[in-house]
Amino acid sequence: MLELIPLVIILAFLFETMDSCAGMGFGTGLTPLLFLLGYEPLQVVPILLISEAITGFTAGFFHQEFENVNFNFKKSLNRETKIMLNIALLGIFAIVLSVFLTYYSVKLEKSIIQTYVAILVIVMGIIAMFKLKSKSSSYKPKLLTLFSVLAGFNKGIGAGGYGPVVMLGQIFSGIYEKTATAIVSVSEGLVSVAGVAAFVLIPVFSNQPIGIDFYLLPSVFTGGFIAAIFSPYLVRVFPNKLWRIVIPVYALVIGLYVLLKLYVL
Amino acid sequence: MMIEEVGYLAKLADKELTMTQRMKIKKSTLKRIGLAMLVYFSTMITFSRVF
Repeated sequence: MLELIPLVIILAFLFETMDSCAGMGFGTGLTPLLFLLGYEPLQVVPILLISEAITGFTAGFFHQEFENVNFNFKKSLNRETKIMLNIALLGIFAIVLSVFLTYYSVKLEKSIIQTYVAILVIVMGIIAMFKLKSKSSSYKPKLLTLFSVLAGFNKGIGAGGYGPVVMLGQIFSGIYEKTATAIVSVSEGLVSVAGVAAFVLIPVFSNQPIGIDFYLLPSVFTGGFIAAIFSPYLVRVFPNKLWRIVIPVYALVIGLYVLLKLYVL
Repeated sequence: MMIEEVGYLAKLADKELTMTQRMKIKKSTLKRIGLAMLVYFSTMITFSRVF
């Protein structure tokens, strides 16, 4: 019997709305909340990856539909498509590495690396807020590669914070906020597909199969999917100057939330 | 503005259209939203049979 949990649907909807509008927060925000509600890691982590894979592509499709971005896969790839693929490839490499490290029990001090990512996100958020008044700059591909590698490195060592670093990195590199959001959505979709594959395949190959509990999937999928259609519309309708404020403020909130979770809650 | 510029379409919509004009949804987009909802319901039916 299919069971839908209203609270999980609402939470998934809210966090996916913010993720598809501001390019971050679905995993970082929703995972600890679901743990607090008493769900186990194997009920939460793979389900969020599956959901993020579907919603990432859905949001990307509707970002394209609402003209927040112009991906072009025909003939030669345009710049926006190349940027998305570059970010996604680095993320895919990182997430496979991250799952390997987890399964082969390479122990890194989780609280230290999460503190480092939280501080990095807060600092980037503050810098982005200081840059609010400056005019949008020209596209800087080298800087974007640097931030993509940094975000991939963070994800690879299991610290999360991939969305905020890639999103703010794009803004620092001169990419228009609305378009950066769309690029992150599709990149995260591709990275999540790799994450799901790694989550399922690596334990199988290492003869340690794991049992994924799909109990939360219908609820997370319902909230996330509806948000993935709705959010690109919000991004189109509201002016870019609003997203220029929302994105760094939300990054600050996420960074502070991670620090609070680590040291206070 | 060159067509290859990153974010060209979004910038153009912000520059040329008012917020009310940006609120309008094309018929083709409405159709695609309908199709997406069909995909959603099909997926939920699949979930109800599988899980």
